[in-house]
Amino acid sequence: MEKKRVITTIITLAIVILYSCSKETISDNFSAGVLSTEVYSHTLTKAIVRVRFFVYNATKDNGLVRFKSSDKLSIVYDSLKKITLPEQNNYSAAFIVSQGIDQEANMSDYFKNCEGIIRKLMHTSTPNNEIMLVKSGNQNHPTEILSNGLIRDASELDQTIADIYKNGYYIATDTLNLLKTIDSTINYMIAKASYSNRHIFIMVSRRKRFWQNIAMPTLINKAKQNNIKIHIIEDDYNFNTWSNLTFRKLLLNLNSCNHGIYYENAVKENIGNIPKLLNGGTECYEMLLTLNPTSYSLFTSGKSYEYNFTITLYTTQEKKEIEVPFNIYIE
Amino acid sequence: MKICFTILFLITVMATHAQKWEIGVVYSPYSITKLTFDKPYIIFDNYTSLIAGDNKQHGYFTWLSTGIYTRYNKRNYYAQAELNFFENKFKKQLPDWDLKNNNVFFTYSSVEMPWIMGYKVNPSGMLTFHIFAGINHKIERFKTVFFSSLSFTNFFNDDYNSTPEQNIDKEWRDELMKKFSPYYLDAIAGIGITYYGTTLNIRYESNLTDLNNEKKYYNANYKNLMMIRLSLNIKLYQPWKRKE
Repeated sequence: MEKKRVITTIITLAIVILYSCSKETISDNFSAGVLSTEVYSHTLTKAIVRVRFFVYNATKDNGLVRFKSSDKLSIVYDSLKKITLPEQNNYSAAFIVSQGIDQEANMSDYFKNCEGIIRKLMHTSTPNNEIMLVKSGNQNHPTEILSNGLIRDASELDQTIADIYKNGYYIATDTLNLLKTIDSTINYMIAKASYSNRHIFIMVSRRKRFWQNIAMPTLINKAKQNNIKIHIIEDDYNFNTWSNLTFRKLLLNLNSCNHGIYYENAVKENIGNIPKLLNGGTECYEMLLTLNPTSYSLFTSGKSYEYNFTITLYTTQEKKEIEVPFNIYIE
Repeated sequence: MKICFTILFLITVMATHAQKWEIGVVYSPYSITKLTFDKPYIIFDNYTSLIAGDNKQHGYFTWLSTGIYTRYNKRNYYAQAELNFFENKFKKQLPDWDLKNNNVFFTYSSVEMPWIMGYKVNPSGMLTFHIFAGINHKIERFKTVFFSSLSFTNFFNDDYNSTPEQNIDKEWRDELMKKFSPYYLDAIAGIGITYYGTTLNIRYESNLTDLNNEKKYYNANYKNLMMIRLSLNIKLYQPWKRKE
């Protein structure tokens, strides 16, 4: 198998916060992700690509930050604009959380944050969309559907979620069989979901040892075949000790609608915007790019290529650069 | 005009029964409370949660709790009405509340109007013992830090200029306070002793009516509030009492 050649090109988009008087910090309050990539046309040496992405800054009241583009682009940058996403049908979503959360240190703040994120995501999804909560088991605990099937009142799960995140964070040394859980969830959704717009949200609550054992690409392919998008939600921005190159690489590879969506830094204040993005009719950013392969690589059909672009958020007090990876797939 | 007539009527009644009326001040410096919930977790509007209570009794100093009382005595019996400002404290009831701002915790104040009937065991003694029972009207909810910072709950518009971590304490506190009904009724029972004009009471209270402003099916609602409080009634004077 030919070694996949990844070309990293930095595109710098300068995003200027107009509310320059703000004293709040960006560092822990942004969320960004790629919604879709589409290759319009390509030759061996050139690809015209459309990338839709979102960036939210929770330090601002109006959600989406305002920006102006920078011309410091290392590749050909054709346009950048704010667009309104086309309306989508309502969606069916499953939220997968873990039985037992891998904890070795006092990380109660981390779990409080996770709890708020998943609860907000559920509440902002309902009642228009339907949701379910699945608890992934281990060798001694089977996968459980904690909700009464697909439901439209997220309040039903409030007590359950609190119980998981207040009592579940013991030190777990077993290998969680998440693969089977996701597989079962996919099968369940195929049979029961009311909508063809289907999503699975996975809360990252385990560390590298667990994730390295997951054959995630296989799973993602199965989801894709069944029109289900998998979202990996991670909140380890302040806990870099959890980060691991292999783990991150896996997650970053998902950062394309060809596979799934990975939300960098899932801040609770921002996560409520995700259902709007999935339902459509809300704003995001769209850029058109002309990508060139490196001198030692040509675009080849049937292969994926990974790129990065960098968003720069500014306030008068600080500057924050967010690296957003995305994949393109050459058919 | 109605108020004037009412006051005039009361003065006339008191003057008629001058020897039997007394007025004074009430001071409740200490209380032991136990607040229970009907579900294990309190879910807040900001999507966070707290473990709902520890089902234990906790003691608090309630230094600001003061009021006035009036009492009508007749033989072994007496009837008493009070108008108090009382601090309701529940800080220790939520053990997983990791306080980031110590000035903000689960406490609020209310106006209360106890109506009490009592029986004196030895009305002519120098040291009299009595038992009593009644009801207590608990009215409204006020934030209390000091008297100068009192504000009516319906006009809460805090400037949350602090960090989100500090705000969360205020949000929790305000939400928990607003979960309380602006009016509920307590049952009262207790015992006390009177020495000259000073009465020391130990009063047990428990809610008769629902504590909740609005009950939510999937959230923890207040279930029961039990309180044992120490109160001191100090007779100021009997303005209509004739010289013996």
